[in-house]
Amino acid sequence: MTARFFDKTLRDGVAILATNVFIVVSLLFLLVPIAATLIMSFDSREYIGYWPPPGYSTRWYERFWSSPIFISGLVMSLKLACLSSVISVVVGMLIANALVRYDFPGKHALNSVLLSPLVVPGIVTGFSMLGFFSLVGIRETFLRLLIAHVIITIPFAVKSIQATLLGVDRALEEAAMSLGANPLTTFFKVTLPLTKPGIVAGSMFAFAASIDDVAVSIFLIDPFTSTLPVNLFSYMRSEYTPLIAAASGILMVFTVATMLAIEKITGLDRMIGIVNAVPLAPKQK
Amino acid sequence: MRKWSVVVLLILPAVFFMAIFAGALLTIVVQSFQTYTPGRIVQEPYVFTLENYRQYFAVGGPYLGFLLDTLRISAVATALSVILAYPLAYKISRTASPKIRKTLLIVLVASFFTSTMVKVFSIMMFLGDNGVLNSLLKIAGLEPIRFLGSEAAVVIGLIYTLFALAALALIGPIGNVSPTLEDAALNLGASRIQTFFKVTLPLSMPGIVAATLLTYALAVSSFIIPLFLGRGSVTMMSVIIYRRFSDSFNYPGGSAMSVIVLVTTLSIAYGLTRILSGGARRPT
Repeated sequence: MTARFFDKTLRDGVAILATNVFIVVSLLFLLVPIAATLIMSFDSREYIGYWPPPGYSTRWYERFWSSPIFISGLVMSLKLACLSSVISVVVGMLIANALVRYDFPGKHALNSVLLSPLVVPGIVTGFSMLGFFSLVGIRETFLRLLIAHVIITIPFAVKSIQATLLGVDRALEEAAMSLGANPLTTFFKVTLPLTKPGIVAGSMFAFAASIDDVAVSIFLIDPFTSTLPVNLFSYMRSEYTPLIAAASGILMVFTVATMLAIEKITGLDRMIGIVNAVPLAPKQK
Repeated sequence: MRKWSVVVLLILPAVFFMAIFAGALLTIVVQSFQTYTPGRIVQEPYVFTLENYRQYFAVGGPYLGFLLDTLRISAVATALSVILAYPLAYKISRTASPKIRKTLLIVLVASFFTSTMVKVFSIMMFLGDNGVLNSLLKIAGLEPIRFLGSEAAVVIGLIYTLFALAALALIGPIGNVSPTLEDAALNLGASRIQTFFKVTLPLSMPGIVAATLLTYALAVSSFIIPLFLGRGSVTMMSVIIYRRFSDSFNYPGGSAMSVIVLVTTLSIAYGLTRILSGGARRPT
C-alpha cells in the first residue's frame, strides 16, 4: 500500500515537472525566432549571413524609413486597419445586440455566416472580391481594400462583443429604463460602457487581422495603393536582406502597442475571458 | 411590429457586408464552370463546362495529390499545435499565481498579435541555410541541415503560426471544467495523471474539437507559410490557387479548386462536429 502511494506521487511529480519544462520550452520556441529577427535587424552587414552578427548598425531601419514604397504601405495599412476595425466594431455591436437580445428566423445560420470569412482561404476571398468589384463597378482601390478588410475583421468584432454582451445583465438595462431612461440613453449610458471590454478586444483583434493580411489584399491592390505586408511579400519574393528584419521590427512595435493598449484599457485577463465565452466552431449545434 | 424593425436595423449593416462576401463567392462558383482557353486573360463568351472539375479529379493527375497533401500536412500541423498548446492553456487556466498567468498570457497574446509575415521571416531566419540553427551547428562543427523547402519546415511554420490561436482557444474550455470535479477525483484517491485523463480531458473535449477545427481551417487555407517555407517544393492548395490566378490567368481552374477546397473544409468541419458531438454528450 505504501509502495503504491509513492508510485502515484512520484509519477504525478514527474508529470508535473515534465509539463512545466514543456511549457517553458514552448514559450522559448515562440520567442527565440522573433528575438533572432530583431537582432538581425541591427545587423551591420549588407546581407543576411551567419548568426551572430559581427557588428551592429541602424542602417536597415534608416533604409526602411527612406523607402517611399514601404512608408506609403505602412500609412495605407494603418489607415485600413483603423477604419476597418472601427467599422466592423460598430457593425458588430449592432448585430451582436440582435443576436443576443432577440430571436428571429435564421439566427443560427447568420451566426455561422458571420464566421465564414475565417474559414475561406484569403486568396479565394481576395480574388472573388476582385471579380465582384469589377462586376458591380467599384473601381477605387482604397474602397475595395476597405470593404474587404471589414469583411475579414467582422468575425473578430462580432464574436468578442457577443461574448461580452452575453454577460451583461439585462436587469441593469431594465432598471435604467424603469427609472425613466429611453432605450437610446440606456444603450449609451448602460449597455455600451458594460460592453467596453468586448469592444476593445474586438477592435484590437480586428486591427491585428487587418494589419496582418496579405492573401486577401494581394489581388486588390494597385501599383499606387498597397499595404505594408503586401509590399513586404513582394520584396521577400526577390530579395533576402535584413531590411525585412527591420520591417518586422516596425511591425512588432504595433504588436506591442496593441497589447499595451489592451492591458491599459481592460487588462489581458479579462480579454482572454472574453475570447472564450463563445464557442468558436460555427457548425456546433 | 416595432420589434421587427429594430432587428432589421441592427442586422442590416452586417448583412450588407456578408451579402457582398456571398456575392463574391458566387462569382467564383460561376467562374468555376467557365471554359478555360489558355492564353486568354478574359474568358469570353461563357460556355458552361465541367472540365475544370473533371480535370481536377482525373485519376493519375497531380491535382488530387495536392489536395490530399494539403489535408495531410494541415492535419499533422493542427494535431501537433493543439497537443503542444494544451499544457500552456491548462497552466494559464489553472494556475493560482496571477503573476505566472500574466507572464504566460503576455507571451501568448504577443505571439498571437505578431504579424504572419514576421513569423514566417523569423522561421526563415531560424531554419535558413545561414540561419541561427545552422550557425549554431557550424560553430559546433556539425553539418548544416537544409530545412527550407521541406514539408518539415512548412509544418514547423504552421505550428509556429497556429500555436497561439490554439492555446487561446483552449483556455476557455479548460476553464469551464470545474476545479471542484478535479478536487473530487483527487479526494477519491486518483492521481493527478488519472484525474487529467479521466476527468479534465473528456470534459474539455468539445472545446478541444472546436479549437482543432478552427486551427485546421486556418492551416488548410494557409498561403504565406507554404509559399516561403516550402519554396515551391511543398504544394498546398492556397499556393496552387494563387498561381492559377496570378501566373496562368486560369481563373476557371483556380475557381474550381477554390470551390473544392471550400467544400472539403466545410465537410470535414461539419462531419467531425456531428461525429464528436454525438459521443461527447455526457450525463452530468
